[in-house]
Amino acid sequence: MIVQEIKDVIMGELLGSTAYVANPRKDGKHFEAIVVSPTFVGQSLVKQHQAVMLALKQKFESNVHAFSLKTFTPEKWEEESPNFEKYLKANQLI
Amino acid sequence: MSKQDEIQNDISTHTVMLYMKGTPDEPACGFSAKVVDILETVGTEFGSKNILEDEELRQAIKDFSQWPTIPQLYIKGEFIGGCDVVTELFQTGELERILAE
Repeated sequence: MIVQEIKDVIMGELLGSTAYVANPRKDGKHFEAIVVSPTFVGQSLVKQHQAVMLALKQKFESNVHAFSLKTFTPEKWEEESPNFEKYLKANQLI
Repeated sequence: MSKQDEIQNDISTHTVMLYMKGTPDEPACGFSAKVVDILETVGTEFGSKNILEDEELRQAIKDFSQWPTIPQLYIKGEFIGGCDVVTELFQTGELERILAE
């Protein structure tokens, strides 16, 4: 399943990260991800996104059509995660 | 001129440069449409290129930015990001700050 592959690639590439990956339309083409990683500390938003996008580059060439991403440092996620609880539950990610 | 030179030239001569699918008047993808919408909302002028009309440019911009998807926004020669990053920078007011600098 591609959702699992995306998750594995991200978490394999970014040390200590947690990735929540959803395919809300269940079409195997449109994906959404929330990535929480200590490697993001001190990085600009574009650098954080770039780290994830680069990890997924191979996969993009072949089968990912659209990918929506949010990145958080663990500290920021601590603050923000209550806002995403509903989303994570709706997509059966927690 | 190589595609890499063409991109370098685009981003040097346009303060705000958008590589997108379609045109600002007729975006061909929801993500491109959203970035156009944000740029129009903040009221900045911008240059754009339709990568659907130039397969070589489409590949070149991905390599140039080290970023696998389109749209891609450049401001003052710096790669800013794709739709998600631009949206978040817009929502936090950071985008207008970068433009005003």
